[in-house]
Amino acid sequence: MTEQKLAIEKIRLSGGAADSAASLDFEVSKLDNFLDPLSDWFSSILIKEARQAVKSRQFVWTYVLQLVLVAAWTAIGFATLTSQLGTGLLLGYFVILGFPLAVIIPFSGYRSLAREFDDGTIRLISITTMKPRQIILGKFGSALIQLVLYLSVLAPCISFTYLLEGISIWAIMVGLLISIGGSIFLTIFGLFLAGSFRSRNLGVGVSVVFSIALGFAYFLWIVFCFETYDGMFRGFGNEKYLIATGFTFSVGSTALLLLASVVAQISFPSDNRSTLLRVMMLLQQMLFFGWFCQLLCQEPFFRDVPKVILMITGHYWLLMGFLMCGESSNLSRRVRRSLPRTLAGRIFLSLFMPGSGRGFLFAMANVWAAFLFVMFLVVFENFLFDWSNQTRSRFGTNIFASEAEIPGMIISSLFVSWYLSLVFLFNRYFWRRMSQKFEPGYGPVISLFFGAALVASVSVVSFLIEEFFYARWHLSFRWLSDLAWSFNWYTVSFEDFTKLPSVFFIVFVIQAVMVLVLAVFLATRDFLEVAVETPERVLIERQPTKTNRLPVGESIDEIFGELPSAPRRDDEA
Amino acid sequence: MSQTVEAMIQLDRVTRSFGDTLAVDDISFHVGAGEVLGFIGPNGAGKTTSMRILSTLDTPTSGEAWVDGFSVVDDPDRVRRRMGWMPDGFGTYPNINCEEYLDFFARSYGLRGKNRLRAIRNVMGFTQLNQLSKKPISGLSKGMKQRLCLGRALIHNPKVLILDEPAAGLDPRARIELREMILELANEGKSLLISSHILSELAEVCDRVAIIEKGKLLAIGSVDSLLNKGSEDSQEEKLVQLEVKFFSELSEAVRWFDARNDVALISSTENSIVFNYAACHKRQSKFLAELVSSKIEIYEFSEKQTSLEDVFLSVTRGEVQ
Repeated sequence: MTEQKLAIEKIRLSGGAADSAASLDFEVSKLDNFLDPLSDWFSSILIKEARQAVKSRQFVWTYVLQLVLVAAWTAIGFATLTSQLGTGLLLGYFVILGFPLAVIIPFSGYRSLAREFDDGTIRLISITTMKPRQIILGKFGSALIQLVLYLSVLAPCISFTYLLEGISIWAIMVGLLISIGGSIFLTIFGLFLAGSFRSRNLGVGVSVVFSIALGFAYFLWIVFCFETYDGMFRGFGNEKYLIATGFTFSVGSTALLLLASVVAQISFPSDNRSTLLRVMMLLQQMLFFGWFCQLLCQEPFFRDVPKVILMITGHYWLLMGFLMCGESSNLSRRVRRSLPRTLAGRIFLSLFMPGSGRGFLFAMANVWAAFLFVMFLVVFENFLFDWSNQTRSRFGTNIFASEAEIPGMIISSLFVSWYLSLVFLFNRYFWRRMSQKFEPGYGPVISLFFGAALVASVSVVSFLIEEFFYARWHLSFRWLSDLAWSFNWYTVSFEDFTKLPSVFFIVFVIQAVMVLVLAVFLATRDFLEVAVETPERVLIERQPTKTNRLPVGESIDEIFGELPSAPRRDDEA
Repeated sequence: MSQTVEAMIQLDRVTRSFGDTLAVDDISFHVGAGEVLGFIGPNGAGKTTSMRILSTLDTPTSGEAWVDGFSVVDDPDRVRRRMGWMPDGFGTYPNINCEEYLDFFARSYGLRGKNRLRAIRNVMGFTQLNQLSKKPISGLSKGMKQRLCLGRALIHNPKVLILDEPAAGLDPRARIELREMILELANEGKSLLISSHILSELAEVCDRVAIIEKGKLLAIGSVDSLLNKGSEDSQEEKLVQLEVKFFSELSEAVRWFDARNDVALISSTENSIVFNYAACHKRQSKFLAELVSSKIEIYEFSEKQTSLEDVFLSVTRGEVQ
């Protein structure tokens, strides 16, 4: 006899008074039995955190408080607001909603992961068969569930305001999208902080700073709500649309990068921690290019596009390059199983694999891609399309650059390559010397700090050179020092390069090419690593579950982790 | 580096350093199927570091480690399916009961549907936590928490169990129950690596014992072989603890022992004396003859049984890194 039947029997014997309770229990039990298999589709962390949240006082109190505040504001609003009732109520609802979304959810996401480190439970989760990606997405998912629950309180009220006068659906949508998007970004940032600062002492300081930052974010949210109140977002022009898409792309792709970063931080040392991060970086750069193309289509008179592209990509890859240069060049056998084996694979896909040299080349390849992108646009404008004539006659200027600026642009691009190659070269040399003394996991951070110090010292030296030359000879060496000193490549006019003495020009170009070649040559050592065979026993064990269709080693599973498998039926187990 | 296929756990010249500190220094040993290996050493000897490497929480600086033939560095996911680890801390969560705790880990190990429910029920039964399934973890005693943690390590029915100080802080009854559970697991054919400071308990459950100090493996072998180490060699001089019982006055016996320079008194009662004596078997028999020929009326002369504690003390120097 099953437990349920026994329970029913027991209650039947005890008398009729308990019949209704027993019947309810039985129904709940039936529902539970029905729903339990469905729960197999969800992350275990999601289920555990949901169970914990339901029993936690913090969640219950915040939820109840939100309900009370919403009810109170609705009553107060109807009693006091005579004109623009809908807008006034909506403003209040957004202010109420903002607190859990901007403060409670991101902070509980942060604490949720930080507590795992504090209590040592992350070790227990790490040795289960869950992937790091599943752990982090589980944490993130539980934050999303909280978000949905908090939204559920406000959603009917917010919808109701639309029926009242003075509020557009557009304002409601923008408000909701920004509040939800902002909350998601802050939660991911919280997870990133928790993964980055794991020591308990450091964690206390980070908690305080993060909570203050969240308070400030809530303040910004209130400011935004008042902007909405003034009707700022009632309509969107081209310019605002571009700003909004640019902001969304950059915040969204940064959130993905941070998420990939925190996954990498909790991954096992022999795992491939780099590829996913590099894919995210590439995605970010592609979105950036895409956004610029959109910008050009909508605002063709926009000036200084090449300089802005070079400036942003240069700075971006300087930062990312420092982090990648700190990676260990010694690949684990686990990673080497997935090294590309074909020539084409070794040339192109190796850049996505871990390693300091590969990281350097990946950064440089992306910078060069940016140059090619700019050059393509310039050539397209000047030689293939009469766009320039149209714009010149209309605005008296070119879109990008005139033909006269092209040599300067090439030199400028070469300069950026030279500068990055040089600092990365020093950086990689430094990390190679220091790597024996530190755990490999600390490499990127140490490399970043050294890189920052290197750039700062180069800037000081450049500043001194500039003062010396500029004060005494009044020659146009200013561009050289400006570039490194203030690190503002975009301030350089491409035409300046053509004014340089030809000897200086030749010497600079020759040494720049030599530095670049040397840096690339040293980096190609990483490409000498060859793939190793996967042990037969591993292949046999993997065989029944799925077929490896990709030609390279362990293939996609080793790069991105095995895909979540569907719950198995009992008869299959 | 070679790999013993039959070994469920194998370490081959494993070294782990943290900067200049060598936590584990060139350690090699293996644990066979159904075998229980005790891992003993002073604090900071490198036991937990070795166990962390085997548990796929850390990687060795050099050397290789395998669990059921899979490298812990190259195939950690496959090792994790076969290995259960119980750390020295509990690692529990607030606002969650015993059943939910086990359910979480069962799901985390990929158990689905009825398999998951069955695994939870089995583990609850084995650890005798059935009555406490709905009780919050925060309300459990230390012994019960330890059982729960053992249950967590067993939830996916691993072939290999690594237990780090499982009996630490438990009362005598809980220790006895834990010991019985360990023996039962060994009888089921699971391989166990257990570290503990309670050496007498290890002696009872372990097939073999490994002694580690300052990251180095000092001795490894069956408990019997370690206890009798060197006793077969009658020519070798070794320090033994002897006990003599007599009818005579204690003062008379003490006077006789005091007159000798080659013994060191340890303790005495009204009619017995325990003392240390460094000698080979031949000299021991000569010593006995001298004792018998003295005026002391002896009725028992015995070598005090060596315990695992004695072996541990004689092998290690009590130094930490």
